[in-house]
Amino acid sequence: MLNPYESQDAKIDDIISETPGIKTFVIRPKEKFSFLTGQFIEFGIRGMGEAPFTPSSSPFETDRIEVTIMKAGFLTEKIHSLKKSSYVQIRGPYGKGYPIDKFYGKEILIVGGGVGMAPLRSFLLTLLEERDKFKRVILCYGAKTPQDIIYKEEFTKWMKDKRLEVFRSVDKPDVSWKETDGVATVLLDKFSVDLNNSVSVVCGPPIMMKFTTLKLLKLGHLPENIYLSMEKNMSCGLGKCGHCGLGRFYVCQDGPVFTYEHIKNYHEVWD
Amino acid sequence: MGQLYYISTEEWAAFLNDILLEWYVYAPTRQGKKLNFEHITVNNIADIELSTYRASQPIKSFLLFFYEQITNITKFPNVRGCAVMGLKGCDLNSLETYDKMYLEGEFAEPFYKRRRQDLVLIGSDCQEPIETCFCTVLGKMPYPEEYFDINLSAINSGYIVDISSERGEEFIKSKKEFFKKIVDRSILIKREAKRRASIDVVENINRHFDIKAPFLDLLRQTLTSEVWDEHAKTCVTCGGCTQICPTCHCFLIEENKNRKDHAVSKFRHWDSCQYTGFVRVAGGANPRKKRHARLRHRYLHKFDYKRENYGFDACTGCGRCVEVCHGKIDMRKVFSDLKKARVCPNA
Repeated sequence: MLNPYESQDAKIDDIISETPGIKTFVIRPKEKFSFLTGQFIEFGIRGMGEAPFTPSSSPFETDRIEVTIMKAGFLTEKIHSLKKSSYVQIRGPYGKGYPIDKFYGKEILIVGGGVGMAPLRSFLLTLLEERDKFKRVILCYGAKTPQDIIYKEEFTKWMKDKRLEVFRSVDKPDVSWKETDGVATVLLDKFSVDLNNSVSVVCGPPIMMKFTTLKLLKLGHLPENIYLSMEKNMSCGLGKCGHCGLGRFYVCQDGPVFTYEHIKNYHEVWD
Repeated sequence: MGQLYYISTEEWAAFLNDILLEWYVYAPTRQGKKLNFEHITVNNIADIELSTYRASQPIKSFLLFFYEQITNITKFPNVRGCAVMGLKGCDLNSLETYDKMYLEGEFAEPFYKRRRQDLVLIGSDCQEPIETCFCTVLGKMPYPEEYFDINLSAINSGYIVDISSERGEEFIKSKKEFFKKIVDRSILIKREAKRRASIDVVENINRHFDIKAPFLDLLRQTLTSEVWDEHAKTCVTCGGCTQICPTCHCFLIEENKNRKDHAVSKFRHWDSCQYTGFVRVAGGANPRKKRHARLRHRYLHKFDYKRENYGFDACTGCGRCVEVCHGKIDMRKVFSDLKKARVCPNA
């Protein structure tokens, strides 16, 4: 009997503290579990409930999955209090994810804000897996303060990687900060891309996605080349429960990744 | 049209009396001003009211339960041997939305699918529409046109019985002698006249609203209208309109302890887009914090998004939301006011 509501156990292998409010949980699902980059899973604790998160690890790694979670409410606080070797519940994956094959041969501009870097990390690791298929990969990341930057160690690695161009900014710099000051959008002035052969992939808080999209449009990017990860509170993940409605779409089935072209006419897009 | 039979009222009662040994039957019975679905036994057969108007409960109550355990189960529950009687056109038409949402797409909802396969649906013509009825505004009829296994049209102190499916055949099989094949077709002309009369009643009830579906263009032209604010003022966020709506299909999954063994399982319960927290995300952001935004969303979901996605409206004009509303919000009045407020670009 196949029951789509049933979750499977996953053991926490490791917990990485990214910032005071953000942790990455490395989990090992009991049964085989695979996903495409950008797809999300329902992640929870038995008896506490579940919520949608997008894995931040590479989809090529199938026996262990990483999920980066910010403490933001009841469930995430419970998740943050978990210790190594305890069990969580996962089901999925759901949604469509990033259309990687459409991106072949193009310049890829990744713009992340805060914990929104989580799905983008999975996306970036996917690109690096077959880097020669893409013309250019640019990574822009904005955080509130230098302490709020997630994946600090990996960023150091990525910044040395010849295959990547990395730009970072923080809203509130401290004395040690040698990179750009300001919100993520200011990074977009630091380079130019081939507008006829590029796509932008954006994920972050709604306000950041709004202004990044507006800026990209101003710079001449076409709405159909801007890919946005929409944050909604999916409950079922199956396209039934109605919680993730975005205009005529259900984010859990039609998204969570949409081009701006698809959703630009809905009055609730940035709310 | 399926196979047509005639059965007198007395024979129908006798048939039911016999059939109750084999079937678990629900039918509308009168309780005060309302009709409620009740389990029928030999003691309350006489209370069944088939041919007036719709019962209070929507058909979804039988197909996707209000609250049920959805994990840690050994099989999906079936409703084999169950029948619901006295379903009106507005009840059955809601299955257009439900079947689309729950049977199609990447995942079929297993609980709904199971029950939908089994449940025998017995419709009946609505011959006494009430003030809140507006099926004709949606282009629908006050009698069942599809989705029924059997339909009963009250006529000449009996019923015209329309059997349209194998499930319907199954239901009458053991007592088929009660049903007479219709030879004299003139009775069908009488049925037509009765149906026409019901249509006229519903049309008269709604004439002064001066509205007609589809409402897609009207909604798109009035997104920012003050009409939404005006009507939402009396909304008390009770969610009654969505709970009682036969096409509203949103739910929430929660985890709870099973009453029997106290094991933790997931439970699904009906949810409402009219509740404040329906679309709230972690951290507190809420795109529909205001009541008018939620009211508008309900209309958009039914008459814009569903029409764009599937080509039909997720509303059958049953009028339950009008009847149940504490704030006296009347969908017809909302549309009527939107129509008046519309700034027509070509005018």
